Parts: sequence; structure tokens; C-alpha cells
Amino acid sequence: MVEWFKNPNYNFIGNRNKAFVFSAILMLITIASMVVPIYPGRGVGLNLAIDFTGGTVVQLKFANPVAGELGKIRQIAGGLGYGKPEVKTIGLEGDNEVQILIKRQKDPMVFVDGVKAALQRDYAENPFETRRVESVGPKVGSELGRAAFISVVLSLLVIIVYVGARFSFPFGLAGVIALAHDVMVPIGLFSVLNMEITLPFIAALLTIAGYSINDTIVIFDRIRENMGESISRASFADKVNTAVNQTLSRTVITSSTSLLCVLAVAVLFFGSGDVVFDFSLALFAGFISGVYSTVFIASPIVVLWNNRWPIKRI
Amino acid sequence: MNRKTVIRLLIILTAIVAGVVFVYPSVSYYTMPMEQRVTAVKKTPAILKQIFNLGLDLQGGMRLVLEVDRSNLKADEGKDVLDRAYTVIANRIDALGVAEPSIQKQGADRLVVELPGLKDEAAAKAIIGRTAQLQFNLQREVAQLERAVRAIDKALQGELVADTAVSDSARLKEEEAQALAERVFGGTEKAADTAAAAQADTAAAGGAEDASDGELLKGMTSFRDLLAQVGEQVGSSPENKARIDAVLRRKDVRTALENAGLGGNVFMWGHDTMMVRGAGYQPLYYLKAKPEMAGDVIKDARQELDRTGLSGGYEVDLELNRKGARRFSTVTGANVGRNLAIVLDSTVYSAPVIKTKIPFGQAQITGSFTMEEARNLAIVLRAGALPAPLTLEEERTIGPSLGQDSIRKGIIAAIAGLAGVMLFMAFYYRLSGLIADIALVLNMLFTLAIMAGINATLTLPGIAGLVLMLGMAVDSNVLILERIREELRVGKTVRSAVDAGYRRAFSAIFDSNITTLLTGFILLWFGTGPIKGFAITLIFGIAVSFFTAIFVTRTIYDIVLNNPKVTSISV
Repeated sequence: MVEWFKNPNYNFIGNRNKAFVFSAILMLITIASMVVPIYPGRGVGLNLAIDFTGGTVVQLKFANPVAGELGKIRQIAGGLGYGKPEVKTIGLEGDNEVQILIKRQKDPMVFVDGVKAALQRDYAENPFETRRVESVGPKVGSELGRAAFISVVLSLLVIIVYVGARFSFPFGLAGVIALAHDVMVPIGLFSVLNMEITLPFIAALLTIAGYSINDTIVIFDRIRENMGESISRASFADKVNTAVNQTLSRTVITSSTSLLCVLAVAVLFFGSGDVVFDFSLALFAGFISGVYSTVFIASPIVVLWNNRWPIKRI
Repeated sequence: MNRKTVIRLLIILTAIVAGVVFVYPSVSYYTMPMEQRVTAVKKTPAILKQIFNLGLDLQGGMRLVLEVDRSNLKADEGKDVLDRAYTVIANRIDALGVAEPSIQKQGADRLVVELPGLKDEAAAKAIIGRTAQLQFNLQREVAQLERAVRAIDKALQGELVADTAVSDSARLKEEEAQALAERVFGGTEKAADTAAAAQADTAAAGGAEDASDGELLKGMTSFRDLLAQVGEQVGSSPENKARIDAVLRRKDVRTALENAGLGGNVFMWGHDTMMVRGAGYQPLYYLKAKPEMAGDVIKDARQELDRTGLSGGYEVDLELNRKGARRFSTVTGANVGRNLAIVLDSTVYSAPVIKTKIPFGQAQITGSFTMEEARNLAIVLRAGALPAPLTLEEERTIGPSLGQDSIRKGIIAAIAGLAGVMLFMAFYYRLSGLIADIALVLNMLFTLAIMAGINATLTLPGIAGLVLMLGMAVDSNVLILERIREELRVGKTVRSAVDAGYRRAFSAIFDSNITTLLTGFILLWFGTGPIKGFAITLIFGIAVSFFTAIFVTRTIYDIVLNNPKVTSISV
């Protein structure tokens, strides 16, 4: 029998303060990276994609290499008078793919046709095909932003209510604090790396919330079971710690299989310029955080609550 | 095996058979090369209802969000403005000739247009984005149509002889019209048989000559043979439509018509298909090119019950503004007995007969319409008076080659994910891992079967969701197996350990799956297009996992443990 954890008995709850400090540092970095303008041009806040700011992304695949032409393309696209475009190559070297991005411009729809016509003229001997066009008007952008915010908050609320109802309030609260932690980790990662916050990224956050609470629920379920066998005179903290250890093997194995799947997607879409890569990277970070927060955040918070207001019913 | 296990096994086998039956059409369809798919759809159009769709991000195409600009509207004008815009846009999309277009109303102000497999996105945007053009054109008499057909046929035979000058006045003879009807109708079926696959096109007249037209017209000598008599109207079977368009685009044909003194007329397609002897025909109208009036003369149009009360049907009541009333009075006065075509964006929606002079700007269009027909015609009439322009708020276009790449990578990711998880489970849990692997494969099968069954759309994030769902669905089995291990460790027999494992793991499995489902539903509500696809695969995958990860695996254990010789299992 393959068994990675034979009767594990780690003192998770006892080491909670170290974990709290570690998480506090992570959260500080996340917030600092949003408040301090580390990347020129981004200012305060996150690197929001056109989904939220409005703007246009045009992705073109040329027949011949264009890596040396980025300056010229930037000039052509910028010369149309719709704002300052970001131009970069994406994909592998032989793909000859260029991405032209303009955010917050007034008339995103007209820009697409303009830039394609101009490039067709100037690169007559190097034809291109359109791989992707995304244009979002400022109005839709701000609506999507609002919907994204509401949906993340709503999902946290729904979870706190459900877990609170199935267990009891302190468990719901602990679960949601852990979830907020898990949502913050990918946000921090994307903020530090200056990656774009897209619609699929928000979808990833919701998925992380739905997934990470699983670990937490499994441990809470075990705590409840251990509380039932109350003949033993172990303290509440010990019972929680036992529950974490009992479920440790499952926590690690399930997370490994999920991470394996996410990794498969991430590797295949690496460098493709497709948001599916961003999506799976966010999931990867969130899932790791999910395992960590279940063990080191959610469980200790329940213990802390119990120290203050003893939990009688689960 | 006891009875319960047999029944369970039968349920599972039935589900597997059903799953394969549901998934098979999708697999066979999407593994066909493109040309074969087109033929397959032509042969059995129902196939499209039996498969899961591919999202625009996978098959390439364009998604547009259009918004009605209400800033110039008075409160009472705005009520059905979206319906009117819908009619206008739907009409234009028909003209684009896209295989499976979709157009949906979103909220009170928006239309979402999806055009899979679209080639020329700039042209499509230009067509969809322009302002609606409603106009009224007089229909030409049959005699003029007959002359036009004759002139075209002469031109096609290379005999570009100008028709001897004939006065423009009508020379309608009963027999002649009858003769035309018969000749024309008689020729159709033969022509339809030999017709090649037709490629839809926009307006009948106008537009440049197409390079493919020559190919389309090869071996065809008579324009007349392409036409059919449809009621009091000339029309065409769907197969011949593209050919007729091609003929009318030809320069020599247009010159011939001009030389015959018919340059001021124009052919236009009717919007509604008419049924004759069980076959659908699209009417082709021959109209005076210069419109009598533009659509802006209309103040209001609405469907009403037929006033005479005789037919029990509906009519459309038309109200014109002051300027329009005067013009309408002149036009109707001078043309009693003729037909006045209602034309929206170069498509004829109706061509009612002018029965009498209509002096005061109040007209009724009667024709024992159903309520739906009357309502649609009223919407068309009001569309011409659409005071609210449509603005493009969002565009997402994926080129076909990118879609292909995404499908390929998506499939590889799914296979890699599935293989990775299966190998891991078999390595860590041995036989029990293999049982969980069976559940995983079935989960994948059933999820795809449900998606095909309800005609859901698979998107790129949807594929990612499918892969992710594998990692999550296996959690139920991990929970159960870990629990069985624990029970075995405290010395229980195999059977009671398995029993206890399933019983005790259930509440955790249930609660954790429910929370995932809840966030799935929030995603479904919040997400657009591709993200909805993710939510759908996630929701179905998790729902299915209740069946596969618990019911199926439990049944397999029951069968294995039913053998009295089995006293241990590898977990």
C-alpha cells in the first residue's frame, strides 16, 4: 500500500502564529503592490484588461517574421489617433504573431478596421491573418467590472451562509476568511507580475472559492465527527488538530490531482497569449493557497473563536 | 449477486449505452472534415440538434453586442424599440449567409449577435451597423417582367439585341400571363434537380460580379427556367436563388435590361418563403427602382383584428405623418389596382394591392394575416421609423485558425489531465484506484452526453472546466478511499470498512460539492459566452460525479465483495 502519510501527527494548530505572520506578509505584499505604482503607466490599482477598462486587442499572425518591426507597427497604430498602443509579439518565435492593445480609447470599434487597413497597406509583401479581435466599449466595460465584483462578493456570501447553516456561524466565518485569503493570493501574484485582470481571471477567482471551501468543509466535517466522540478528554484545539491530521492525506492527494490537471492546461497554453493560461495560473496559485489556508487559517480561527466563545454546537 | 446489485448494474449499463448514443453524433460530426460536415447537415439537418455546439472561441466567428441608443427617444416611442431593432438586424444577418447565426435580446436595450464561421468580419460589421432603410416601391406589371425575362435570356444566349422599343404602358394580356406562369413553373423542377449547392447572397440586383459566378452558371442557358410561379408571384426554389443573383449581377444582363428600356426597374427578393405543392419558394419581385416614399413617413403601425370581422384574421393599421399622408394620397390615387411593395433593407416584406386612394394618412393592410404575421409586418413598418440608432458596444472575433489551435491544445490538455489523474489513482490506490478511474471515464462520458443532449455549447474555458472537473470529481473517491483505509486500520473487515467508508464520507462529499455547484451557478449568471461554457461543464461534471463517484464505484465494490473468497482489497 502506497501511503505518504502514516498516522500523521503534526502540530498545525500550535504553529498558527507563524502561519498568521506568513499570511499577513503575503497580504501586505498584495496590497502594497496595488497601492505603490511599481509599474510605470499602471499607477495605483491592478492591471485591468479591456474587459473592464474598455479598449481593443487585435492579434495578427504575419506570414514572415515581424519581431524587428514592433516599433514601426506601434507607430502605424499610434498614428491613427486613437491613443498609445502597446505592441508585442506573442506565442513562439516562428509564430510571427503580434498583439496590438489599446485601452481606454474613445472609439474602440473603429480602431480595429483602421489599424488593419493601415497594416495591410504598409505590409503588402507580408500578409497577415486575423487571429483575434476583442473590442469592449467603456460602458460594457464598467458594467462587467461591477458584475465581476458583485459575483465574487456574492459567492463569498453564499458560502458563508451555507457553511454557517450546515455547521455554525464561527465555521462559516472561518471558511470565508480562508477564502478571502485564497482569492487575494492570485490577485497579489497577478499584481506583482503586472499580469492582466481579465473576465476569465474573475471566473478563476470564483472557481477557487468553490474549490477551496471543499478542503475546509472536509476538515470541519471531521471536527464535527470528533466532537461527537466526546468521551475523550482532549481539548477542542487537539480535536481540531487531530481532524486536520486525519484528513491530511486526502487534502494533499486531491490537491495534487487538481493541480496536475490545472498544470496540464497551463503548460499547453503557455505563451499562446490566450487567457486560458492566465486562468489556469490563477487557479494554480489559488488551489495551493486553498490547501494552506484550510490547514493554517480556517482551522486555527475556529480554535481562536472557541477560546473566546466556547462552541457548543456544530 | 443479490437483486439490488443487479438492478444497480442494469441502471449503470443503461446509462453507459445512453451516454454513448448521445455522444456518438458529436464525435462523428466533429471528426469529419469541414466539407463532409456541410453535406451531413444538408442530408440530416436534425444532426445539429443532437450534438454539443462549439463556442465561437473554438470554431472561430464573431460576437457583437449592439445597444439601442435611446437618447433621442420620447418615452412612448421607446417601448418596442428593441423588437424593431431585432427585426432589422435579423433580416440583415439572413442576408450574410452564415450557417448558424444567433441573435438574442439581452435586457431592455441590447442585442447579442453571434456569427460562427464568419469569413469577412469587416463587411459583416458594415452591413449590421448601417441604418435601417424602409421604402415603398411600386411593383411592375407581369408584362414588364416578361420582357425583362426575355431580355435576360437573350443576353445569356449571347444575342444582345435591344428589344424593339415598346412603350412603357402596360400591355397585360390574361393569356400571356397565364402562359408565363405555366412555362415558368414547368421548367423549375428540372432546373432544381441539376442545381448545385447554392451559396446565399444579399440583394438580387446590384453588387459586383463575383469570380465564382461563372462556375455557378456553367451549363445554364435560360433564366426563365430558374423561375417558378408562386401564387400570383414569380419566385425561386432555394437551390436556384444564388444562380438568379449571379445572373442579375452580370454586366451583359444589366446592359441588356437597360437597352430594353427596363433600367429603371429592379429585382428584389421577398422575405417570407411561400409553400407551393409542399416545396418552399422565395418570391422574387420586379419593382420600380425609384421608391415612391421613404419609411420616415410612417408615424405608427400596429396589428389589429380585421375590422370587417369576416376573416377572423388580423390586419395592420398604418398611420402616416402629415407630409406622408399627402404623398401617400397622390401615390395611391395614381396607382389604384397596382401593388405597393414594403421594402426593408432591399427585402420585400409584403406587396399589398392599392384598392383605393387613401387620402388622410390612415391605411389598412389586409390579407387575413395571423396575429404573428400582422405583428411582424407592423414591426417591419415601424423599423423604418426607427429613431434610435444602434451602437456597437462589444466585439469579439476569433479567427478560424486560432480556434483550431485551441481545440487541439484543449484536447491534448484534457487527455493529459485525464491520463495523469488516472495513473496517479492507480498508483496510489491500486485496484480501488482503478475502480475510481472507471468512474472518472464515465464522468467524462456522461458530462459530454448531457451537453450533447441539451445542445449545450462547449467553449475553450469549458474544456478547461472539463479538465478541472476531473481533478475535483476524483475528490469524492479520495475521500471514500481514505476513509476505507482508516476503517481497515482499526481492524474492520473489508465489507464493513467499505460500508463505513461510504457512509461516513458522504456528508463531506455532499457539502463540498454543493458549495462548488453554488459558485458554478453564480458563474453561470455572471459570465458571458466562454465563461458560461466553463460554468456549464463544471456544473454538469459535479452533478454527474454524485452518480459516478458514489453509485457506480459502490456497485463495483458490491460485485467484487460478493465473491466470498475476497477477504481483502487493495486500497
